[in-house]
Amino acid sequence: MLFIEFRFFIFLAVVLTAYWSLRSNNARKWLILAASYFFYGSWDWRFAVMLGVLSAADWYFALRIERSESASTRKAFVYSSVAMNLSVLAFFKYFHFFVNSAIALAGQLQIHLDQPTLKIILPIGVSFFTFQSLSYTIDVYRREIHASSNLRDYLMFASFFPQLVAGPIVRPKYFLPQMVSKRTVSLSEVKASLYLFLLGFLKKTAIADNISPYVDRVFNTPTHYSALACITATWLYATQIFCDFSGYSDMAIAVAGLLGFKLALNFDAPYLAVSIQDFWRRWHISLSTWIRDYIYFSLGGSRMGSRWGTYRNLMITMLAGGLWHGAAWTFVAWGGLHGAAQVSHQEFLRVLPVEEHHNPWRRFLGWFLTLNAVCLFWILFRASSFSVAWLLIRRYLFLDLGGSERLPMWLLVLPIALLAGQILMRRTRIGIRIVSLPLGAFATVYGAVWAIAMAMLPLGYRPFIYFQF
Amino acid sequence: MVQQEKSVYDPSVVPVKCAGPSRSAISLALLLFFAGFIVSAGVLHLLIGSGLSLYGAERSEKLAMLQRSNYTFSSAIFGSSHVHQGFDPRVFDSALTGSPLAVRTVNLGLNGGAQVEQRLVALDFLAHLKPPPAGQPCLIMLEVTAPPRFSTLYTWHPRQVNILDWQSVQLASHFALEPGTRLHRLNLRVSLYESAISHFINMGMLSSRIFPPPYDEAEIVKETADDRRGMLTELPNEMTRADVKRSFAVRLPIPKPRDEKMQRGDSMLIEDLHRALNGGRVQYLWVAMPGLDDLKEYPVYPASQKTSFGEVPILNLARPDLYPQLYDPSLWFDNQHLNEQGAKLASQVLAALFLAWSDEHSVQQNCGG
Repeated sequence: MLFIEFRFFIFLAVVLTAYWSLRSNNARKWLILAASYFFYGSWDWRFAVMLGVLSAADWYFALRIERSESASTRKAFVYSSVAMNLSVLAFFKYFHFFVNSAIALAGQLQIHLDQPTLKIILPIGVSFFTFQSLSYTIDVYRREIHASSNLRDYLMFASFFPQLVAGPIVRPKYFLPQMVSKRTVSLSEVKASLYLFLLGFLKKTAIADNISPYVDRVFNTPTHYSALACITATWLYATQIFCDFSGYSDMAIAVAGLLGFKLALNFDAPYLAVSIQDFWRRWHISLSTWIRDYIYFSLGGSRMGSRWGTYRNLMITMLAGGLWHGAAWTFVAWGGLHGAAQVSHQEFLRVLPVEEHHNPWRRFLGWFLTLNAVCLFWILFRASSFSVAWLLIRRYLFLDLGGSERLPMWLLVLPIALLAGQILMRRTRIGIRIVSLPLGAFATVYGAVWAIAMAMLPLGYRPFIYFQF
Repeated sequence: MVQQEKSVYDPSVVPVKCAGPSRSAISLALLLFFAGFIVSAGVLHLLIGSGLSLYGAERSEKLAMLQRSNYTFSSAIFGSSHVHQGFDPRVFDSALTGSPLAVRTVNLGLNGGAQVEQRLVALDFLAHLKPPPAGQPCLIMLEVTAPPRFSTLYTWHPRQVNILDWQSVQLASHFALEPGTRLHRLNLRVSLYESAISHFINMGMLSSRIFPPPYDEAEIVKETADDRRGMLTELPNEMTRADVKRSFAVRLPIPKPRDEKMQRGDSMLIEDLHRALNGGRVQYLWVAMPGLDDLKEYPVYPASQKTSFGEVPILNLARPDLYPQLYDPSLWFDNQHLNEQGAKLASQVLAALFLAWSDEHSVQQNCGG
């Protein structure tokens, strides 16, 4: 059940009506729990059972961690939680990756290994909910939060349907306090949520899904296309992945908002970043802060005594972040490139530190280089193999002029126009203006824009890109 | 803006209980929402135009093929895959060469093409029809055996949504529903109206204009090579051969005739096309294409259909009793479609039937005259 499907609208209407009709907070939490499992079970009920078992186990581990005074017991339970969640992730997401890599390596050593016949289906959103569960047990272990004594509350946190399958990854210290009291929403919050839902819907359906066929054509048969078409496709993919994922995040935040829960912002105009560090402060914020807090800091962060130790931690963190995105070496390389870019930038800053008053030209150059580096790295993220990625990278840099097939020229302008549109929306504060409208005017404008959204629906539903992660 | 939005979603901000809007304000807001939606959808509908456009999968390709040919055809056959694979324009035309009925024909059949699509392709053909030299006819051949409409699979598919204007809805609803349970038929009817509503709220219609799917150039090359003029030739495989074998194995020694009546939708289709022509003189023909189910039971149609502008002949090739030569296993691709050889023979038989009909009836010969 995708957020853009008609049946989700029916589901949401039923849930919202029932939710706000209930008086007691407990009843509401039961309702959200049931709705979340129904939502997740609509993909595959077996994975809903698995989610329930994993969540119950993490709840138990966290309780034991909190109640134990012995450091070794606490450690044993947090390791158990980490091992359980990572094993689930490794089995469902990385089994074929590890096996295929082993077979390839054996092949290099002239050893023939057969492909396993086992076919594993990836549970949707497994990377998100395992990371979310991990943050809970680790936070309890670090004594940053108290363990929830109520199993229902924890199950609801771990399965909260608005963000279950593609984030944002919610931190327990941020979310659990919101469950204590009965939620309320003001009219302006409802309008803000409705606005955000429509914005996310438009990003996903009107932009991401409509441009994806062009991207697919070039990435599937890059040899046919000219260098300019390859650049166009890369820029389009950068637009597609941003609109797809941030669109989902917007809708998730909006749906949670309609239920009275607040989720943190997950994207903050990442393509306006002026450095690669800045990019990661703006892109998939819930993941970048997660890997910072639980991987980078666990490795020692920047308190290593030498900058090379910090760089090593940075590289490990980014490689892990790359692998989190997908079970392929291209994703690992993508993470590695982002890590290397951050290390290079740190070194660059040592030579040319940021001036107190930022030089606008330096900011512009920083933005231009960052944007193009990010686009180049997206090629690795999207390409089916290193050879395809290398071909596209060469064409992006005009080292190879490519084939004769082209894409319409206006598609090259589209990403630039959309970026300009984003700047304009931020400058004119269009969101605030619309949400500030009186109810009647807001409803009229909202209805009118929904009509445009319907007309811009893509030709056939496409799942969200981040569902596969 | 970002700062302010952050504050809206910051959980540290304690939700403030405030007086919500009254019920009447909410009702008014809902009313205004729908008013905004309808007005915006209406304006868009006018901007998009009629919105009737064929979408993908050998649909828009057919119209592109016509456009690239500079609309040089005086005759066309429309319908489903039975026509697409089972009619060879070259053979049909050469059979008429030398007679006063000589034409230049194009095959505009579509795989899975429904009657509502047949209407649309025919309207496009008629809109661009260039009258041939004086004395020659223009033929519009429509497949009577094409499925009346789409399955529920296509409820929100651009293939259906893009073309279901009010006339198409009426046309589709005047064809008999395919056999099945009452629930299935209800489902089909509901699906039709859902698609029609989607059409009027422009669902996906603006995006299919801005981001049109690319033409399948390989398909166009395949169907125009060797002057094929839209005919599709598929090579048989194990499965299709087995299909044919099975159909011949279960044939009845003497197939049973089944009376078929022309439906109200058929009349509407013809009248609709005739209206679109605005007084032009075109000869219409109904064609029933053969299938191997005919070996058990075959349809028997009346010889012609009465219309407001005269009689339209119904040329029925699905007659194993009259044309046993068409029911040879070597002529079939699968149990529903003729192969290239079969298409040649069927086109010859069709031309002969038309010539025989023209001996006894007057044919509209001065196309556009």
